[in-house]
Amino acid sequence: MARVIMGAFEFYKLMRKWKDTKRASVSNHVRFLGFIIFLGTGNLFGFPNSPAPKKEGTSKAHWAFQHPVKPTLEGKLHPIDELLARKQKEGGFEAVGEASRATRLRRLWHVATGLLPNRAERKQWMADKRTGVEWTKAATEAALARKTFGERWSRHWLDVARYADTRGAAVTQNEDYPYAYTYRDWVIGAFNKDLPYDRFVHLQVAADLMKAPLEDQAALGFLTVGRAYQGGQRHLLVADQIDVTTRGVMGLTVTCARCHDHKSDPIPTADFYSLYGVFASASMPKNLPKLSEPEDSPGYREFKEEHRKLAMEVHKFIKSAIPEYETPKDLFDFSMRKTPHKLNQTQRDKFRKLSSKVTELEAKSLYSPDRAMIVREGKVNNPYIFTRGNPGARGEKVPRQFLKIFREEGEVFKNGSGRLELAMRLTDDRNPLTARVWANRVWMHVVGTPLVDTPGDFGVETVKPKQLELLDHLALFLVENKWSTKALITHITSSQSWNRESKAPAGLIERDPENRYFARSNRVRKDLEAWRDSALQVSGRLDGNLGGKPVTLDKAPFSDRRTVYGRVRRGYLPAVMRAFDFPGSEEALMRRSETTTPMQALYLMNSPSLHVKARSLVKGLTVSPESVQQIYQRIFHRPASVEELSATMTWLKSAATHRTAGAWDYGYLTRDSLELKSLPRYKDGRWTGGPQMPDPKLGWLMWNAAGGHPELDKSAVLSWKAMEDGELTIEGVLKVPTPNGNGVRGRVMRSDGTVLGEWPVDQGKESATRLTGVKVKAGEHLWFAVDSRGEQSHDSFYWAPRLSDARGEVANAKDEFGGLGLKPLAQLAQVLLLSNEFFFVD
Amino acid sequence: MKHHEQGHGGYIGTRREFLSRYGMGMGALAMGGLPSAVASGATSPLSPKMPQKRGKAKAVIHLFMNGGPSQVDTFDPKPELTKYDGKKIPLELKTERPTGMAMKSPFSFKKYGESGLEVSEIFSKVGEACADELCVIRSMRAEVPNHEPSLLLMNCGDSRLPRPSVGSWVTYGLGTENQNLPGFVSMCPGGYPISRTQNWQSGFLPAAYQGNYVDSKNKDPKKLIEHIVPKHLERSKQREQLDFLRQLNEKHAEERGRDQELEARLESFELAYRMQLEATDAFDVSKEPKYIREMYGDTLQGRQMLITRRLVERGVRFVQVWHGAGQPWDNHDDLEVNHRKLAGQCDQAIAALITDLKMRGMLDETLVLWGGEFGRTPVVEMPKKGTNAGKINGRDHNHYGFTTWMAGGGVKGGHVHGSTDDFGFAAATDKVHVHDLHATMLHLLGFDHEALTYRYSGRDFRLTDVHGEVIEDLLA
Repeated sequence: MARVIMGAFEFYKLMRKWKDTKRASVSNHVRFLGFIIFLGTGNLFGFPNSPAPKKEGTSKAHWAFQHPVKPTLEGKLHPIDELLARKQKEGGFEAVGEASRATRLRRLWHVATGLLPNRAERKQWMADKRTGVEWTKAATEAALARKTFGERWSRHWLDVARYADTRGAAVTQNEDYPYAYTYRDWVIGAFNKDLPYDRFVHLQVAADLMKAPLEDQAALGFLTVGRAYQGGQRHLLVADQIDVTTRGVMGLTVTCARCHDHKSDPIPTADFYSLYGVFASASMPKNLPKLSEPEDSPGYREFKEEHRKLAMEVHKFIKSAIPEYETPKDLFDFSMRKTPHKLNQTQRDKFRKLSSKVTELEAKSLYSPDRAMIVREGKVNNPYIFTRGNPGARGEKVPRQFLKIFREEGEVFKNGSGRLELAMRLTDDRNPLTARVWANRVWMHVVGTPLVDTPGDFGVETVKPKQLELLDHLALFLVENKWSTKALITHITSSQSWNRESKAPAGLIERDPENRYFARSNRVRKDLEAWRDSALQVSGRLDGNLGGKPVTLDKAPFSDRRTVYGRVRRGYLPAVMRAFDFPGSEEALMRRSETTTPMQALYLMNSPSLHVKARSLVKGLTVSPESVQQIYQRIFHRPASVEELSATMTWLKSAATHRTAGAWDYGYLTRDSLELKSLPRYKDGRWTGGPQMPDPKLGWLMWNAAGGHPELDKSAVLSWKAMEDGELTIEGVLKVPTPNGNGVRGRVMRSDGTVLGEWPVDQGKESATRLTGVKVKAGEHLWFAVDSRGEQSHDSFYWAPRLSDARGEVANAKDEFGGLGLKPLAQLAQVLLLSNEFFFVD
Repeated sequence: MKHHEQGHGGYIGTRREFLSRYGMGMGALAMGGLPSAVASGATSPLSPKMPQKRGKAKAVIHLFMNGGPSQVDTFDPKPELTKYDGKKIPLELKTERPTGMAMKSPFSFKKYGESGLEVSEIFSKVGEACADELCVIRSMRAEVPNHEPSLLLMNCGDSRLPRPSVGSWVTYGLGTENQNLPGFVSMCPGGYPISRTQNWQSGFLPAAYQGNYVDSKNKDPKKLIEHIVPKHLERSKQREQLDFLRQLNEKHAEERGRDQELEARLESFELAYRMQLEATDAFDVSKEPKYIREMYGDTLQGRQMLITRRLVERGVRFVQVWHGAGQPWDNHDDLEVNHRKLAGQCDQAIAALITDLKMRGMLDETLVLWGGEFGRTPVVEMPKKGTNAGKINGRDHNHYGFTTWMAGGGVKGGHVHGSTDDFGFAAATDKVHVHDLHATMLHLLGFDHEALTYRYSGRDFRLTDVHGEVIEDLLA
């Protein structure tokens, strides 16, 4: 493989030369690249024709199935440094030097907490007397003690656990998992407590069988937060549990053996069905146990009442459809076995609609008590093979037992379904995979790239990693240190290697582009969570509360909670999550893809959620060199250089200062005056006189995207500024929706008071407001003014004019409705927040 | 690629600029044999790529008649069925719901074009304008008579598991020609089809390959892509803001030895800035001359077909056009009225699309696929409470045999492949499974369907799983 690569590299250089001399067209150039890619790679862009990785021996001789071997060490250096130095020497690489303390501090906080060090932390750790790795070790321990560590690291695991707050696009009703968050919070807590990784696994697979405390029952969400399948196909649900357990914990792709023996790994179909019997013996009960009883409060009482009411509606409906139906003792038991198979399609739909209202309330209400998404053992399943994966084709019977490769002769599960035995077997020392797999992932999250490129697959086709001795050392370290993840992280960060610069001489990068030798540190791009959370942090908005029900990230008013608390709506991820490589959560994901697309840039440029952060960041500042310095300091934790400061000031002076972003503005005219005044406040999609309605001065005056409200002596005015000369047609409908009051009057005017059109509209009525041949000059304003007709109650109106010329639409009040423009300093803050300096960690 | 040169010179230059800039980065990465170069983010995952061999088709338009149009009422005439009307046919196949006697097609068929292709009266405009372009497959088959699994099979090659959609595979394999627009667009007017976003999911492929859903009922071009309009700044002022950002990023990259990943990200803002203009322009059909708009018709379908052409013309790789939200073609009752209405909504627009593509010299390079997730029974559906209105004048789901057609992109025109039995119930000769259709589509795009793979979860996955055969008879 390496030779092919080097060969291709030579060929490529040759082609470059050829290109330079012949001035080959770009498209040819691209074609050559394509050709070279075919020649050179495994699965670069997954270009086809990639040779399958070479088999490294087969089955039992495979490196990952051997027990980790303790490497012999001289002991003069940190073990990680010694092992890496050996390889670096072999490869003829020289490691770069230590990064600056400020860089290491930011790197460390990024790895441990996904945030930036705050001012006090910077002060403390920049001044700390210790040096070198001593310093890093102490600082790591401090960072790992923060609660924010669990919030960061939980997300790494939640990718694996295909965590979501809903069941996915395969269902139309009852979409919510109202209690999924209790599992997420359990994972956060587990990392914060540094729950030993083996117990972390045991609880997630078998907490119900372990006599674990009630709070730990939430761990079972690992088995229950997966996607739902069309028609509730149980065998697919069980396959998903097998997949998340085997691939997620052991890095083995056992589900490949669902229809046939695994193509490359020693996993016969029988193994899949042995585990099938284990998981199929348990299921999630309808009634989930409460993790705590909320304190009595009016809100809780209200919730309980509403909850009961909605449940009663379900029963009433069934009763109306099936007269012999008896309402069960447990009001929240809508189980299908008792009733609804007697319902026809239409009735069933209605039943689903009604019962999903109950779940929706549970998901929405802040008062619904926390419940654990547990499983409970049912009748023990005696599995048989589904021939070719078809549940209808019954094959040979198999016992419930562990995987063949690691099973002892005659070893079968004895207690019930065997799920507890399976849980224990996942981490016992006869199974060399689990510790290696976790050590590899910890390394990946701390260092930036994994030692084994496929963190979810350690099967036979996985090539032996260049740094196997290091991987073994880390795996053994983990087990010897009582499976402490925090100890392993500290072990890695306190090596010289982790503390190196990410900048390296071009020669080193060219010879080791993937950084397999770790002679330098990786420059890491922040993922969605780290970027959004640190942006909230520097803008002073970050809500530091721990845990709780999911929040919506993509709709105003934008949540200031950490991204880990954002609602994950499987199959319908918000645009921001999709754009930034957030996992789809359909299946376990061990390593996110990292793409760079214009969709990301569009979001960063135009999403109002970013503008909110930028505005907060510059609150109270006015344009001045001092303010610029403050903003650089807050975001980059460094002052602007002389050149930066002068470039910034130059740009700021020409930057836009308009009150609103576009051609529209929102204001009012006092009766008999032609001096247009602006409505001062914009929030949540409307312009008003102030935070309270009615405002002491401006009363009910208001504009939103659809229309507004006048005051007794003030008309509400929408003002539009022409960008170029033209002749316009103006259309729109002025409507007073309520049948009360006495209606309004609408007028289109020029700013000199000329009235172009006038329409009185009675209460409950509407009128088309069409004008043609309206000539305007660039810079001129048109006003759309609405007066109350002597009595201003019930004067809410709809009016969103559209302006067009012969070529088409010129302006549209509804679609172009907007809030405040971004002031120069906020524009600066926005730029810094989306700059590479903020997005990358050196 | 002639069709890219029509009046949109702007982006060609920029795309080439982009390529020459990133061609280098991409090559250097390839040398390293990074198994996860996508993960390294050094270049846009949507940069244009060469297929394994030169394919005839460069873009795909999938006209999805969701709900399942009836083959015997559209492109598969059955005189025997007319003879048996109201009688029991000598063929028993298990249907999803109870079905009864034969029900003849209420529509007449006519031969069109030089090929004499037979088309139902409800698609007469398609027949008149483009019969000689159509390659009709009358022997399609799927696996089950239910919408959801059949939709997933048709779109993602697997009825149950979360696999990438055809559009995702194609954009993964070929990238897209225009970086200022999404590479894969899925349009459905008024909401989602059933199975919703699963129909255009990227599965285990990176999220960048997922279909971009557009509600084509929306007439405002600016509303069709999220965050496409800056509302906080005027464009000229945003330009200045981005120029300042560029300065900062350039300096940052300079200090770090011009890391490719940093450069790619720096460039993505330029792309996004251009996208703001180009994307709104692409969706704005008011920019078309009047005669073109009239050719398509001033209707929902006319507009979305015209948008489709504008997108493909600008280099979008894969456009899926759904007839409507839910499952409009699912006519268990009142088939005659409903099929006439539905075909009436799209007949002119589809005829115009194909004519227009041909007129512009784009049809040769654009593969158009028409069809549903399955077809309908030639026998009448019997009343079943809660599942139909019991009018006994509709047809049930049918996966045993149904019709799809393709046009352009290297398929034989005026051609019929395969047949169903005398009644149009089950595929009888030269059967084409959905996997075979996918294999053939990939072939037309220049891919060996067995070699367009993605390594995930320990094995190389492909669109056709372990199935699929290229149907040579369909190729021109």
